[in-house]
Amino acid sequence: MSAATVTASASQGKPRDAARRLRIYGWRLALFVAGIALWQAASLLKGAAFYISSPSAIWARETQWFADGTLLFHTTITIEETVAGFALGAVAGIAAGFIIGPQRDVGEVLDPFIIALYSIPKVALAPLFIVWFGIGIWMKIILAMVTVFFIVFFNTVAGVRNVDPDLVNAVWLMGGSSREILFKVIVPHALSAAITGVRIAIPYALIGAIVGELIASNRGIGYLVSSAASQFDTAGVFAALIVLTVLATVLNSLVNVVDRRTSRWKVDADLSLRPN
Amino acid sequence: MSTNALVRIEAVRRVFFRRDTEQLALDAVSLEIASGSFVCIVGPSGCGKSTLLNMIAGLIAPTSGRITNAGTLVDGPRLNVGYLTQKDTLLPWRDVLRNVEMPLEIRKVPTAERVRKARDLIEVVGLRGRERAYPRELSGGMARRASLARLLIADPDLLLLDEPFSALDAQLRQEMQNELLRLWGGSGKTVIFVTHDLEEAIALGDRVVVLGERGRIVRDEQIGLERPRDVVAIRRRPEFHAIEARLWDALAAHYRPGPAPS
Repeated sequence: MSAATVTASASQGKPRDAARRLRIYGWRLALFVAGIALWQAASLLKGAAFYISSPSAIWARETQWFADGTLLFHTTITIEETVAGFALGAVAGIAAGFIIGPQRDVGEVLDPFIIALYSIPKVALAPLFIVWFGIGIWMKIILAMVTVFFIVFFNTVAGVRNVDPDLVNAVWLMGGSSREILFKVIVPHALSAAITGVRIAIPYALIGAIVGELIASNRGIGYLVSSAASQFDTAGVFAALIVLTVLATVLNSLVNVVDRRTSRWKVDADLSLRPN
Repeated sequence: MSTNALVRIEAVRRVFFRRDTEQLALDAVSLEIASGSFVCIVGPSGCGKSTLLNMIAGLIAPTSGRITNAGTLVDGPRLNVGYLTQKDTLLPWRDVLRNVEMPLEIRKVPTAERVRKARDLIEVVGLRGRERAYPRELSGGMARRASLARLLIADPDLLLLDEPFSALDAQLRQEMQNELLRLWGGSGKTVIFVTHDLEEAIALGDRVVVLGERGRIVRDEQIGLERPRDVVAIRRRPEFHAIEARLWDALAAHYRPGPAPS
């Protein structure tokens, strides 16, 4: 963050930097074109197209999907699962963090269980969720939600517990009651830490949704990938992966927006509570 | 001693427990602080200066002995006492204006009035134009000024300052020292200023109390230098050097290197 700020402020209004930016974009474009050309050339080798398809075939598939509505349909499903799972997980994580965080004894009792649950690779829960919730959209939403929940929960608890005691004392010295200390120090500090968790969790919501779709489903981008692969349709696999890449990039830029909005006042969350 | 003492510290002893071992931070300290005076407390690090200040503020209680403020026992923080700690404790999610307003917000002062007062004080400490800056966007000196404004907005009768300028560079420190003297002059407020810098203590104080280990008072000297003062000019005076030499001797004579303070 600070390094980025320095570069940004140093680059203001210098023509040399503008030229440098242009050069960098030029190189990126060149690298991209070269990569595509190399790929296209490699696909002409005997039998290679089966494994790596070709940019032209992938592009053809992409336009076909776009035209027949496949793209919009499956992307919408995946976005719905990601957004719903993210929202539910974030709300539940913040709520649980605020309930358990202040109660040190309860927290200490629950700690090993929570950490055990957190440590399970969430992918492994997918089969269980299929049994519980079926193979419909809810299974994916819940998988995304569980992933998001733990990240946000741990951040919120850490935010509640690791409030700088000097800040608490400062408000106490001003004559603040314990209620005022709660609402003017602990809650804002924990919310600030929770936002950090929410920010980290954004890409994980997509991972949860995609993993759910890969394991069992008949719709969504993850389904597009796995169904194409099962038919040895390499062009379809790559076409679906490209859609996924675009979606993930959009989500990442969302993370940057959150960062920019909050970095002026956000506290550095101490995540000592979070395992690994 | 004097009858106009605002703060009375009577045979105060304070023990800390760390991993089942007792550490005696202060042993039988007695001190009276006259109302309206500017008293500097000097001593090497680990001598219990901050502990003493924490007890006067009501943050911690003495293990034995008692501290009174304006005749009543100190048993918790008081609204008419302002405490500026070494570390900045501005709330990171509030901008300068909202931080400075905070003490009045707690006193339920109406918004319009507290904003007006906060803006006035921000101007007084030289932070005009930075009202909307967040603490992490401030330099060390600006954060100190904001803290000072927040301290003064509550209009305390007793100011407790714990090495408030020790983190600043020499020039900025002198500037802030003069600022403090200017704000204090004629206000009638009582100041207890803790520092490890002997020169700073003499330049600012009416009285300098030198503490040795465990808060033992090794020297208590009235500083007869005139007011108002300029902290830079006053350092060049021959009397200043005479006082400094005396206090330094007292400090050195009682200084025994002990285990490093944790």
